[in-house]
Amino acid sequence: MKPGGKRELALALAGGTWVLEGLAAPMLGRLQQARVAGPAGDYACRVSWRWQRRPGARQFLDTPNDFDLSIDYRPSQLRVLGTKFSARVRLDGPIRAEVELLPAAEPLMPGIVENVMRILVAYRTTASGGLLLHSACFGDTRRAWVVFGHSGAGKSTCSQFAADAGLAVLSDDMNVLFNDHGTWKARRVPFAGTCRPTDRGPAELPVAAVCQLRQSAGLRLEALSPASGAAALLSSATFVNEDPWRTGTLLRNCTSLIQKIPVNALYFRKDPGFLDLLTGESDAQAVA
Amino acid sequence: MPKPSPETILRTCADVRFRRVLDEAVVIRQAAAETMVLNDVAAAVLERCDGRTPLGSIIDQLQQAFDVDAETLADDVGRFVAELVESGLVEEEESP
Repeated sequence: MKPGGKRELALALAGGTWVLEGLAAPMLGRLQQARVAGPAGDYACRVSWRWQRRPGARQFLDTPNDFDLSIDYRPSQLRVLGTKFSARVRLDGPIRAEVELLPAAEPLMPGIVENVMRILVAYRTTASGGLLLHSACFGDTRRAWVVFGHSGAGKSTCSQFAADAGLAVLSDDMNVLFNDHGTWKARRVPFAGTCRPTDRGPAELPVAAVCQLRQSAGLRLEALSPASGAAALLSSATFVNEDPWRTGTLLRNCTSLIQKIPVNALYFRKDPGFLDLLTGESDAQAVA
Repeated sequence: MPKPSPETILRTCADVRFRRVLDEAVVIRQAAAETMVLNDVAAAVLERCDGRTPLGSIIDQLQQAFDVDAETLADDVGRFVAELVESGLVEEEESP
C-alpha cells in the first residue's frame, strides 16, 4: 500500500522535474512550494514511496535521532537508511528511487521527504555539472552572494542580516549552484534551516561571489587560492562529497566553478557590516 | 619510509582523486574523506606517480620543468615522496 494512494505529484527542483509517486500533498511539507501542475516531461526523475511490505525484509537505522542517515555508496546506486525509512536509489540514468517507510514514519513525513529529496537533488545537480552547497544565499535583483561553511558557521545569521537589509534570501541552508551556458547561477530550492527564505525575488540569480565563513573578531575578505577554494567548496558539497564513486565528478564541478567565480574567506563577526564588504567587492570587480 | 632509490616506482593510491588547479592541486583521499591542497612541485610529483615511471626519471622530468639544481631537486622530491607516502596519497609499486 502506498502512503498517499496511487497519485503522483510533480516537483520543480534544480535540474528539472521530479515525479513523486505515492505521496499525499500534505506529506510534502514546505516542498509544496515547488509543486507544479502539468506533465513532468520525459527526463523526470522518479521517486516512489510505499509503506513497509514485509516486516524484517529491509533494514532500518537504529539510532535515537529520527533524522539520522546512513548511506552506502555503490558504483551505480545508493542505499540510504533512516530510522523509519530505507531507500534504494538507482543512479545509472535518470534517478529512480524507491523508499520504503515504517508505519511510525507517518507523523515525520515532511521531514523525511525533504531529507530524501536533499540527497537526490545533490546527485542530480552533480550529474549535471553543478553542486548542492551547504550554504546561505542572498541577493538583490541582479546578483547573489553565497556564503558557506559547517553548521554553526554563521549561515543563518548572515541570512537574517541580509533579509533585514532588504535582500532576498534564497535559502540559509542549501543552495544549488549550476552552470547556465557559462554563467554560474544560484537557484532557490525549498531546503531551509532556521531563517525563513523570503518569498520575493527571482528563483535564480547569477553568482557574484562565493565565500567560506570564518568566525572572527574582525571583518575582512581574503581571496583563497583556486585550489584552496575548490577544496573548501568540496568540503561543503554535502552528501556527494562522501561518495567515493562520484567525488571525481564533484571535484571537476568545483574547479569549473572557481574558474569563473572568486572564492574568498569571509572573516565574519555578528554584525551586518559584511554586506557592505561583499557588495563593495563585487561592485569593484564588475567595474574592473 | 626509507629513502627511495632512483629505481623506486610509485603509484597513486586507489582511493585518491586529484585535479590540477593552476599551480596547485586539490587532492581527495576518499578512504579518509580528506581534502588537501598540494603546491606546484608536490602536484608535479603526484601527477607522475603512475605505477610505471621510476623516481629517477621523475626527477629528470622535473629538472626540465623547474629551474633548480639537481641536488636540491632530488632532496626536495625525496622529501615530498616521503610526505605523499605518509599522507596515504602514493604507495610503492610492488616488484613483479
